[in-house]
This record gives sequence, structure tokens and C-alpha cells, in this order.
Amino acid sequence: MKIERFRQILAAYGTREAQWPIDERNEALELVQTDAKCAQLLEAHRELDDVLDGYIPLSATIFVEHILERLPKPITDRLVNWLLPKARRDIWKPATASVLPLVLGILIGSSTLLDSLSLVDDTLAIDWDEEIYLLALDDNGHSNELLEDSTDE
Amino acid sequence: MEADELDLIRRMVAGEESAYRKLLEKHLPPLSNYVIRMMVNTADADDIVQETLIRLWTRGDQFSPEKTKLTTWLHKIAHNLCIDHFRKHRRSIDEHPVQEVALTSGPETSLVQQGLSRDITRAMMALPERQRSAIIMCHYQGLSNKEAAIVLDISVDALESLMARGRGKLRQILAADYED
Repeated sequence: MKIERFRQILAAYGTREAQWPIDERNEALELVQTDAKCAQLLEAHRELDDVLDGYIPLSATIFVEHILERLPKPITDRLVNWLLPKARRDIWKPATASVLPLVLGILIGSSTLLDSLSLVDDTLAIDWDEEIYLLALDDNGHSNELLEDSTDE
Repeated sequence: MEADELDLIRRMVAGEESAYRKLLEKHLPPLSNYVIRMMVNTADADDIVQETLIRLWTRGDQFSPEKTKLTTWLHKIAHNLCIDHFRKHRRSIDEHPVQEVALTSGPETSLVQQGLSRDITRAMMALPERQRSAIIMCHYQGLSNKEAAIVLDISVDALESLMARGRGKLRQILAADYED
């Protein structure tokens, strides 16, 4: 390795050998041991790494439980939470979850039944209208006959 | 990648929450350290860490273990969320004094350390985000140069140049601080 490359490694990665590119690490270490100028360069860059080591981040305020609570829930869980927001999870929520498909089935079933009944009603209504219309036609015919009888007289 | 972790990922993708919890326990602390060092505001940092780890649950099936390590993938998500945040809140970040950050460290931290940490925090925050991210990943997070380059979506050469500029600027800022 040439000294120029060693200088570039120090400038980019600093003086901690664990941070040097793995495929150049051994050559760089060898250079430090054999070349006094490289050893000096290493010392000159060490201060910044020491200062960086003193940078202690704030303690994290987020914990595993916070994240687990925020996970998107399956739709049945969300429905149960919406229906029973304050219920005890261990008893009522599983019970509600198991009854929920039945309730949904009944709702869907009843709405379908009502739809079919209303269709039947519509058909009946049409038939009834037609019936009245036909009767009306019949009345007209009958009244015409009466008219004819009166003129004959 | 460790076989255990691969197994955990497979189980998590299948919907097993206990596997996800184990992955969280392993990756939450280092990821928090990365995001807290990147951000000015810890509340924002918490949101970004949460969002990153929720994406592990919701989009874990998109992770390819043959391409990257899980930690690299998570750092990439967190980095992108940080950059998005900086873009959205550019003005408010510029208006925030950085000094407030380090002074609230735990009681176990000495005053000298707090002062030093405050100086470094301010110097780090003065760096462009990508330079800061590169230095944090390589110096503190233990990511290799190739992994850090993947996170930043650049070549290793470009990463080296980014880090050299960042470290040079840090040295200037800190030297000016100590002269004062």
C-alpha cells in the first residue's frame, strides 16, 4: 500500500483499524509498523476519534412494548376493539371475536332476504297495476255497451 | 447472516409475533442510537424508530437476506425516513438550538462528558445529513464501508469521499470551539 492510500483511509475511516476496509486492513497495519511517517499520521488523526468516542447519545425512550402496541391489527381485532374498547381482553374480546362472524352472517343473510322480498313485492305491485288497468279497460268496454243499448232504445 | 435470524425473519413474515419481538429486542437499541444521533429532536427520533420497526413487520417479506443483512436494510429505511423528515421540517430544524439536546443526558453522565457531548452534537448537526449519516454508521454503528454505501445508495469511493469531507469539517468545527 502506498502512503497516499493510507492517508485517504485515515481521512475517511479514522484511526480505528476495525473501521478500515477489510481487504486493505492488513496492508495498512503492516505499513504502520514499518513506516514511521505512517505511525505519525495515525497519531495525528487519533484525536478526532477520541472526541467522537465521547459522543454519548441520549437514552432511547422507546421500548419494544411501544412498537408491539402500534402494530396494525387484523380486521377482526380492530372491529372488536371498536365494539368493546374498554372490555377485558382475556374474556370478552375472544368471545366477541368468535361471535362476530355469526353476527355478520346474520346481518348479511337478513339483508339478502329483505332484498329478495322487496323484489317479490315489486313484482306483485306490477301485477296489481296491470290488473287494475285491465279492469279499467273492461269497464270501458262495458260502459260502451250500455251507451249502445240506450241509443237503440 | 445468522441462521437463527433468518429463521426468525421467516417466522415473522408468517405472522408470528414472538419472532418479531425477538428481532425487535436485537435491533431496537442500535437503531435507536443511529436515529438519535441523526436527529435534533428525540420525539421525532422515537417516531422514526417506531416507523422503521413497524415496516419490518408490515414489509418484512420484501427483505432479501441474500442481498443485505437485516441491520443494513433497517438502517436504510431509518436513513430514508430521517432524510424525508429533514426535507419536510427544514425550517423548524434550522430554528432549533442544538445545545438543548445533550444537556438532558442521564444523571450518570458527568458534566465534562455532557459538555463534550454537547460540542460534538452541535458539530455533527452542522454536517450535511449524508456526511453525518456516513460517519455515524461507520464510527458508531459498526457497519462496514460496503454496508454504509448500500444504505446511502452510493459507491464505496463516494462514501470515502463523503466521510473524508465530513471528518475534515468536524475537525474544523471542533478546533474552532476549543480555540474559543
